[in-house]
Amino acid sequence: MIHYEKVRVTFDGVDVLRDFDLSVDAGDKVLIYGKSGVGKSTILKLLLGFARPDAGAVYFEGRVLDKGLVWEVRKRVAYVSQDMDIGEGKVAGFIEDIMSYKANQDLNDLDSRMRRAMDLFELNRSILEKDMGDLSGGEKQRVGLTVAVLLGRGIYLLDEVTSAVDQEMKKKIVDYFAGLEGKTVLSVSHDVNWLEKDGFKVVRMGVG
Amino acid sequence: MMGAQDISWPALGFCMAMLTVPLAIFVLLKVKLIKVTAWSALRMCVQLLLVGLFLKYIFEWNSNPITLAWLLLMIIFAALSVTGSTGLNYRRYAPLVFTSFLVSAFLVLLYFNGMVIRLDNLLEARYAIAIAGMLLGNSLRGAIIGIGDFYKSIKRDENRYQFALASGATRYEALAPYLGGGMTMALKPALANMAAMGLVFLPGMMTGQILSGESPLLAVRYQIAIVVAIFVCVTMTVTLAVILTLVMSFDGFGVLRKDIFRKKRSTSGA
Repeated sequence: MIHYEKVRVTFDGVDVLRDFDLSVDAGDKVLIYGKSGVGKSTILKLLLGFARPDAGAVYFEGRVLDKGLVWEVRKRVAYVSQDMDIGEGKVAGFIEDIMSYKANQDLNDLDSRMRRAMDLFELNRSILEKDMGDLSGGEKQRVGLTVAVLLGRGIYLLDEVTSAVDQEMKKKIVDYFAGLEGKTVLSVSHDVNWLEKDGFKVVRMGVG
Repeated sequence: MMGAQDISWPALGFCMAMLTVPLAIFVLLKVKLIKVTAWSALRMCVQLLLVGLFLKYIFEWNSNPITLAWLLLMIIFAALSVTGSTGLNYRRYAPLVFTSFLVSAFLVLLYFNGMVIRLDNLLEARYAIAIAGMLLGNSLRGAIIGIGDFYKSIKRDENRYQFALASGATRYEALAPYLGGGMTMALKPALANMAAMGLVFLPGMMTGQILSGESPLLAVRYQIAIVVAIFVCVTMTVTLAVILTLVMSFDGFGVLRKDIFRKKRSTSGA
């Protein structure tokens, strides 16, 4: 489904990724594990078209990811970014904006699904009235995860999504994504909670 | 009509003499504005005298091709000024900014001269140049703020923009909030101005007409008309400039190109 072939990404003359290969089948749960600064986030950004390979190629469902296909991919994935400065204004408005995109207008049961997602990530309803800028790092991460779950896409791209939450929540998030039937998960993290969880195909980065 | 009281050349000298007050204050308080004030005042005098001289002849000739050439020159200066102030790459952006000024200023000017002032000759030099000057001057300020804010916000909030794209937004859906933000910034001064007009100050154009002996009510009608025309022109210019520059500014993946801003001199040659 997703295939990286000998991908090289250079940034300011330094190789961020070199000869990177990875194949992800539909339904796979993949953990890309390693210290920060070893190009893990770039792997997700490549699939989203925010980073471009200097050599090699990224394939999605057998086709080279190009400027036509990338817009299709973005409608098929849910991305939770590591940098949580992802919106402004009230949380409710932020979520509404995303749900108002043409690609997301056909989603059903938004209210009940939102309630379930917020319960899952232990977010109080009152957070909807808060300003995005006033949220803690952990709250922002959980709002990002709530949006990702609401979008109900088949592929999750998770970038360090457990970095700012407490141990109990870390486990809960890992368990949730590990147990998603039929969904593809690509999680980038340096958090051992993911590593300790069974069921993830582990790609170690920045070693050897 | 009586016309305004004459200001003779010696009288203008008396006016310039007033500048000794701020200059004396700057000297006393050691405010470092003396050179700048002298230089700016000198530039104002020379530039305006030259323009006055040109305009004197242009109004006398009242020839459409010459008026048109003068208008084009004004638009070129406006476009260069916007591209310069926003730090955008000259070669790529100046022609597009020029086009947006050209289209919006001409459309508004022709409509204004034809439908509002109802001139027989839409390019009547005296009106066309004065009105276009006000339209362009205000659109210039609006465009610098609006276009600058649009691109700087996307660059600054790259994560938000990319998050929107990653959540399935179309190009337009992802960019709409930034266009709205730029537009708001561009129009805010004009809106505040409109609301305060007459209460806090008498606008320049109206003051000019009153001094030259027009009835205050005609001056008011002119003022309202020009303020509306300016508002329309600013909105059109900013929108057009953003739309025209989009293709240049984003690659096929919807990512903001890195080279849209000119390189700062201080960072080169390291």
